[in-house]
Amino acid sequence: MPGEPVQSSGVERPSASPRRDQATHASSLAHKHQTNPELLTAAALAGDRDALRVLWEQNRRWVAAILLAHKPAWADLDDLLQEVAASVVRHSGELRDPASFRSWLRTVAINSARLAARARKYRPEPKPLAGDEPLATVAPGGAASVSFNEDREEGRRLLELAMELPEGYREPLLLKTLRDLSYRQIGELVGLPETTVETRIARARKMLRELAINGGAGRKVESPARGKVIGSVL
Amino acid sequence: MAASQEQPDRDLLISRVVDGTARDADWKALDAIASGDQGVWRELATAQRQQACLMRAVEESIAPASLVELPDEAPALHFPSRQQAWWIRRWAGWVAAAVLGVAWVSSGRLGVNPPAPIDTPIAADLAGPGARMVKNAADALSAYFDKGAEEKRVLGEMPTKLLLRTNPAADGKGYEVYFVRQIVERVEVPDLRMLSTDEFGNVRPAEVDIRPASADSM
Repeated sequence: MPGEPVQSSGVERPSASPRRDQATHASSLAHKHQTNPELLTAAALAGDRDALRVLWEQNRRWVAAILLAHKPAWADLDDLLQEVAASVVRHSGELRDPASFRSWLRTVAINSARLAARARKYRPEPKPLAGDEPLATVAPGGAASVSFNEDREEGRRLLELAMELPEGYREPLLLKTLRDLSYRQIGELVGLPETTVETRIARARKMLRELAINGGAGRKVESPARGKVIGSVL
Repeated sequence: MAASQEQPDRDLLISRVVDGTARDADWKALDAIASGDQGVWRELATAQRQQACLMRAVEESIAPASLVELPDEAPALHFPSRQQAWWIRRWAGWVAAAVLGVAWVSSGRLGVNPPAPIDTPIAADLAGPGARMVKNAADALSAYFDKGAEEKRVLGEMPTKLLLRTNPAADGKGYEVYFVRQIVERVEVPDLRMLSTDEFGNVRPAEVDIRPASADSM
């Protein structure tokens, strides 16, 4: 499965030479296993720390997308991703089947997001600060910037609306926004046939169009395929 | 919903165009729908714009992912399976007691063991006067304690060992025990530095001043 390209050494800070060395080594490791990702996964699960790091770098973007699809709105994506990364370090060695790594990683991500949602019950409602409003639509660059900001605002609004979709539709839709994931690869991740994934994404887009027209929040979301209420939004 | 029921593939066709996977047959089907309902093109345009905006929003949201590295925790130690965990629960107490018992027998002042006496005969002088033949790891450790004490660098060994895991031995007799040995050393350095993390997440050494504060500064 193609994943995120391994970070080039240019991303690393000049002062962190050990990390740069690690990145160089990781790049060669990724190159070495480019044609056989199973080998990379097997090496990582067997305790090869560099292989595990490369594996994480190849997968962390879709993990972030999964978290985005399942986390409560207030939860910090960064924090949750750190938790998942820690779980990878602590528990990936328990996996025996390299082929199950990605589905295991997805489960870890979903559990982290759900735990965060449960923890909310015991925490006070975070109050937005005065400066927490969406970015001001100041457009110093003229019309092009106005368009950029409009698209950006529209993207944020759509992402909020997408969160109102039923879970089974939301997750494939968000995964499909990552350029490097095909229907088949999404199907492998979420454990669904490729055709089902394609249909769900199409239905999710239809629902999103309707939500965008009708304003979204507070409405019941229906499955266009069956005309049956399958999700409810507060 | 009536339109959806008449043209069940409409949403799928639009979605395929958005994803760039539409084939000739899909375009022809879409054309056929459009011949009766021009609104399908508007729907397609909306779907394409929404996808572009959503992609940007998701990319922005998950951008921090590229900065999240694996933490520098102990690497994947193979944690015990349930069966192994049962053995550990059953025997770990005895193992710990045994380790502590051995430590108690040989413990020195302040809970730190003095360097162990060397009972291995010096068999050869390989690296100059005073060097000893190291026949096994225990010899090497003894030599390390001895030389370390001579240099006033190695003070001793903590009486407790950190138990990592235990397994039933492969031959079924006894157990193998994994533990961390804690040895106390002393060095003299001109200044003290500790590793801290800067605002970019880079690990940097930072000077530490542990001199007691003077009365003036209070």
